[in-house]
Amino acid sequence: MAIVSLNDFIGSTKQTLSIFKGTTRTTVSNVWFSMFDIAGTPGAGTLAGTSTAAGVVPTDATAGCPPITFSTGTGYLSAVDFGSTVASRLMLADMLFKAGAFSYAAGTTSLSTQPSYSSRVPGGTDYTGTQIWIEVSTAFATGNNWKVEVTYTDQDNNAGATTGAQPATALAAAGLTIGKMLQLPLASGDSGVRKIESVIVTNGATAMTAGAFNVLVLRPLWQGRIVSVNGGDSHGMDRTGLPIVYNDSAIISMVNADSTSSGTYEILADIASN
Amino acid sequence: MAITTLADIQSGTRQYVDIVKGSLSATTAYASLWATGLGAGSLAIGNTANGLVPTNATAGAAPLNSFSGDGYITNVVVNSTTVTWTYDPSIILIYDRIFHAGSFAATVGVNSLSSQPSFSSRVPGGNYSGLQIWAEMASAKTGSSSVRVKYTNQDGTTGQVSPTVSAPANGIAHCIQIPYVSGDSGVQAIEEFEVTAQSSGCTWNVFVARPIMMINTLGSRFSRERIHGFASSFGPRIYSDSCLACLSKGIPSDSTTPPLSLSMTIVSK
Repeated sequence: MAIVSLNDFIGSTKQTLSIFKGTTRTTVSNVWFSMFDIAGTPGAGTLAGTSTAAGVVPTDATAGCPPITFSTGTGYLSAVDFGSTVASRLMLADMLFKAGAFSYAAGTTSLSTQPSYSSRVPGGTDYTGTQIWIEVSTAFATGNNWKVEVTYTDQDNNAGATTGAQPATALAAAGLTIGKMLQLPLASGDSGVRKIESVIVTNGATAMTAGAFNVLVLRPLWQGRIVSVNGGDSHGMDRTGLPIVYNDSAIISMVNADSTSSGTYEILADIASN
Repeated sequence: MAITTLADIQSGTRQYVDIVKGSLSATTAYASLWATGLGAGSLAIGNTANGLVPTNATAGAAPLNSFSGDGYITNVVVNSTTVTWTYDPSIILIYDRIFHAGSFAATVGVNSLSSQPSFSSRVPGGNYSGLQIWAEMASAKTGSSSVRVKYTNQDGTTGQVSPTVSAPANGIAHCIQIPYVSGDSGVQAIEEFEVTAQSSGCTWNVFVARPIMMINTLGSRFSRERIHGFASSFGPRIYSDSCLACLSKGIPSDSTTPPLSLSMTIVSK
């Protein structure tokens, strides 16, 4: 049952997710980094993906994701309290799909029998707003001419769309440190992704000699800004916008620090369900 | 009686719970305000064998009057009473202190608890996920100290041993959250508190927190008051015997006046 009135919200069941990262990660200024494998609450997850052939659909039962307890009805992110030791941005997203860990080496990996994540998009059919991200699971080494391209089926079920080889300026090893995330642009006219079809790596000279990465499909839920050390804020439902959360959503947090440390951060996220 | 409508909130019983807490030395770690300010508690918990389930009647708890039915926060006003312009922004965690034990000696070793009292009545829906384990420095230290906790996780699995964490480089009452084992997200019981390394270290308490709300003060440079209204405060349930307490990170070193005043409106029915 959807929450369609203030009384629905007041009377809804509420769960507070506690997300805490107790140690820092070296980051790059103004770049998103994954903290999935950093110890805290819930316990650390594992960065490296477990399938490059088909990928997996992570859930709240995946180590590193907070368990979600409502079993029926619709859930909504109704409030987020957050704070960090560094000026930064924090993001919460539902990790819909994860494939990896792919090797740094040049080549094309075609996926098949990919599991569907339709149950984790609104209405089962609205893939708009979903995003493709690269997540470095093993730091890269040596090279300075590395790119990645992902082909996908778009939100309207058109196959063969491509992100193109990204980024425009090839990456060096120093730009592919562990945890770094890179959002890949969708093709012109596209607004979401139903399925990852293939992953294409270009490893030009000077070539990388180590490194691994995942390909993720994320549905963004929330972002917040910490303007200074030990800053943060409280976002009620008027500021979260009540994005839908499913009872098996794999909620992850990411950080975009102003400087070169992720800081340690805490997030209390309320899920209201009815 | 549950609060399920706006009319329930409007007709419910309101109480205004004021928390006035004193300052500690400036820190980048969390500081427990348990033993400061009005109605201060004691860091000497007085039970290392079983632990205790503190309530609203425990010294140190916010002055919450007992009520019947459900309780919810509908509004929080945060004030900084200091006039110093060195007051930096800080994070304040309001939590229900549902279990604590201590003070454990400042020596390397394992402290085992038994016959621990249950705090299940203070866990909404029996969901232990999202609870937090904290180590609290019960005395000042000059050297170093590292600790870890063995606990029963949210699903009732015993013997989970947390990663080791080091004490923050600060003084008495500073706290550090204990990370969980991979796959865990909560705690049903504390089984052991272990000091793994010690050099002129401190005595310790361990407590379990159910986080209620996290708010921020912007600091004297920007504003000395913030109001968190219904949209951002209504949600977590408050029990009639909740032991509401605060942790703060980043408070100033002004020791002459209490720098923090929280006024919470709690509606019950």
